[in-house]
Amino acid sequence: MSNIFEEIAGLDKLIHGPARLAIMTILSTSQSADFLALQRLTGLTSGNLSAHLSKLAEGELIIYEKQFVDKKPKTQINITKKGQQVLEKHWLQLENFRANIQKLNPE
Amino acid sequence: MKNITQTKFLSKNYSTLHGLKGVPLGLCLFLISFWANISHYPVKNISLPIVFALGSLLLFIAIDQYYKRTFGEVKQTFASRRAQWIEQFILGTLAIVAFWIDVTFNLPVNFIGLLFALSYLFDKPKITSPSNKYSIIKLVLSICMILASISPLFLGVNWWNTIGVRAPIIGVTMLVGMLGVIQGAIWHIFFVTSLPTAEVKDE
Repeated sequence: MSNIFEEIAGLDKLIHGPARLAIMTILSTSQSADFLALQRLTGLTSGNLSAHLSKLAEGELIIYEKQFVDKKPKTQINITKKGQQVLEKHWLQLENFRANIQKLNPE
Repeated sequence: MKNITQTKFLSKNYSTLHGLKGVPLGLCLFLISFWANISHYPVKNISLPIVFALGSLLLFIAIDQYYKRTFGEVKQTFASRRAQWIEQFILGTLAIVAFWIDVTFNLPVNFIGLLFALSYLFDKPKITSPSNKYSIIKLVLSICMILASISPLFLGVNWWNTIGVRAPIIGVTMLVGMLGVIQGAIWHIFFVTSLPTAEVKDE
């Protein structure tokens, strides 16, 4: 049983929350996404999305670039190689965790 | 927030699910085939179809801008874009061949209609998620196209004339255009209602 708690403790806190996990998943399926698309796909407010993006950028999981298109600011967000690896590892850990739980509780 | 599978599906097919982008092509096909049906032959002035085509192009640009400004942009990976270009190139080549067969031989089957039906059946969202509502619409519309394309086999080669349509190719193209507009409108509604409205609370 203690292994399961260790597994939970071993999950990456930076991307474990639903909002950040959704952001990372969206970015992992595409080349890049802009701020508005991320807002639409996650349902987050711009303030919250900005905060989550800053945290992910601090952890070097994403990079973002601000441009001006037709005099309007446009933020383009990309996942980094490290971000892709961290996300893959996270999904693998979740899968293992689920498999271990099923072993304990086969029904 | 929607579940992660739904979010993944939406982001992977973000631009494909922008249904209204298909409306200009559908309108263009319908209007040009309608014009071909009421024109007096031999046709001397083709300025109207050119106006329809240019109008559709402008409408497409306007719709594209609407989606970019309202829903933002998700750039597909290079591999998916390459697959899309290859798919479009193959479809374009097949469309030319199908058009040539339809106008050269007087067959009871319409190949342009069958090609559109085939492209609807093998559309990307259908492959990525076979049982979603987007693919069901595509499936229903492709069945309609197949039935219209092979209808002369059961109703006779000249049955289109009885409803005022000059030739099967014109009738099928009008139908394909109309169905394209309907599908575009329904997909747009699906797309807008698929996006999350409530904010996630995770901290």
